[in-house]
Amino acid sequence: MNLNGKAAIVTGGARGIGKGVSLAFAKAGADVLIVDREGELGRETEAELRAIRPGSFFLEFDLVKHERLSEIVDAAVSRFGKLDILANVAQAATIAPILDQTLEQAKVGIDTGFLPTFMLMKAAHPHLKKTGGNIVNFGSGALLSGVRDQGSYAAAKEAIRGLTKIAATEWGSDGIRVNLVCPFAMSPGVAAWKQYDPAGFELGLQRIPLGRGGDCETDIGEAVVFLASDSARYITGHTLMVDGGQTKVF
Amino acid sequence: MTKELEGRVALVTGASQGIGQGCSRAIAAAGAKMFIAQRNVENAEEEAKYLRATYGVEVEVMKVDVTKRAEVDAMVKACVDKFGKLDILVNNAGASVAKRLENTTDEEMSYWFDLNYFSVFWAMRAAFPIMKAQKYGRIINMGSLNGVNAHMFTAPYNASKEAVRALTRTAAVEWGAHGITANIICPAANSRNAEEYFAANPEMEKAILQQIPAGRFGQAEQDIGPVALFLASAASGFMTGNTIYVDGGGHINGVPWRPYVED
Repeated sequence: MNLNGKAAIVTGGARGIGKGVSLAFAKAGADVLIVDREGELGRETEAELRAIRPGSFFLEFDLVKHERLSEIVDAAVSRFGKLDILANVAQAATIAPILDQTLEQAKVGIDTGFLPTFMLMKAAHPHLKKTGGNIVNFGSGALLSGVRDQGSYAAAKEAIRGLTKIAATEWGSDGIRVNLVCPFAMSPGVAAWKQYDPAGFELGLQRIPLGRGGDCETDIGEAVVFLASDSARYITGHTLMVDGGQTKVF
Repeated sequence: MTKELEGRVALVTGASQGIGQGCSRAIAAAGAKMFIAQRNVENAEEEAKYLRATYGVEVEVMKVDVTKRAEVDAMVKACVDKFGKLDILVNNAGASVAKRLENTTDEEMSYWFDLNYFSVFWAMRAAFPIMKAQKYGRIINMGSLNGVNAHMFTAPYNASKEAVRALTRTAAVEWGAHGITANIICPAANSRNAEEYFAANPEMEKAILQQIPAGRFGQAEQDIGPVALFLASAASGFMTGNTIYVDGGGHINGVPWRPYVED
């Protein structure tokens, strides 16, 4: 059990990668607060988590309420007594050519991913300083490549990556590690892609050395457990690709 | 409780000190059978005794000069002959020296490439058939921030380490279909040499520490070893072709290491 007795927050924890990470955290011994705007899915996942770690719970919360995000950290700390890990998985995006995106659409990635990450990191800082905890933020292969239609999404992810490195530099002396994971997994979004464009999906698979999409829990979740655990105590400011070897830069 | 690497066989070059020792101990602690190979066989025997006594694993030792292809081939063959398999290959042996690029001779460049790059290529090529047959392999090679950031006065080392990274990433792409992953660790950890150097150069030690967010140097066993264990295990099965910086964050803004060189 690599995360025995740890207390974690996972945003976007109701489904997909966030759910995979939450389950992996719980199986590794952590108590998890999952946060999501999807109430029904959140409650379903909460039940699954409680079967492994009864202390885990779900908080329905829309992360675009930027000024209230500290309530999430307060909820975790008041329930768990402390905070060891903050995993900022939640991210929505507008997928469309730049020329087709309105201002509102362009803001989605920043408002649902970057700013929540920024504000939650700030709120979590004093608690993570007490425990020598760590933060795992989420990027995407999109931030390294230049896939069409991902203009505002890739920008939000690169913003998170930049923030991650500066936070690692500023908070190293506080004993807080800050890292980024770039996963490629069979999340609901990717599964939808497979359904609507099976030929395109198969073609995409051919570019993956390990020949498959990742499992949210056993592939992505396990790697995040490693990064959040003591095994990675000397890793900070790092971008960890968990994508079956697709990475083209680095 | 079963140990993570029970039933696996790991080959580590240069396991008797520094990073190699840290990685080797972490892998042995997880229950793998160990094959350790290096030039200084007395030190290797000492380390083997420690591994057997501390972790209760079988350890085979072989005297190998990794700059000689025939010896690297023989090393891999001996491991497979002894244990019947080879799951984890840690190419750790390597070194560098400080010298101005323009003063570097052909012989020097060639030697450093034999030690740091060709040794790795030969070992990987020799290990491929058994790993392919197993449909399982974990290759862990060592990179360096010297290479990534082109530190001054270690050109042969820089070039050979970057060559190792390209080699590793190519193997990741070509061999992924066979269940073989290949990754690089860029470590920063204290060693006897580093400690001696810092004792003689306290200003350099201070300057470098300031650029490390973690505020301390790494310890091979506690800090690097667990990462090698992760890369050697099933949990990292969806990661390949990656460079993992295990350096307390030094890579973020670079490390101002500059050795003394003669004119």
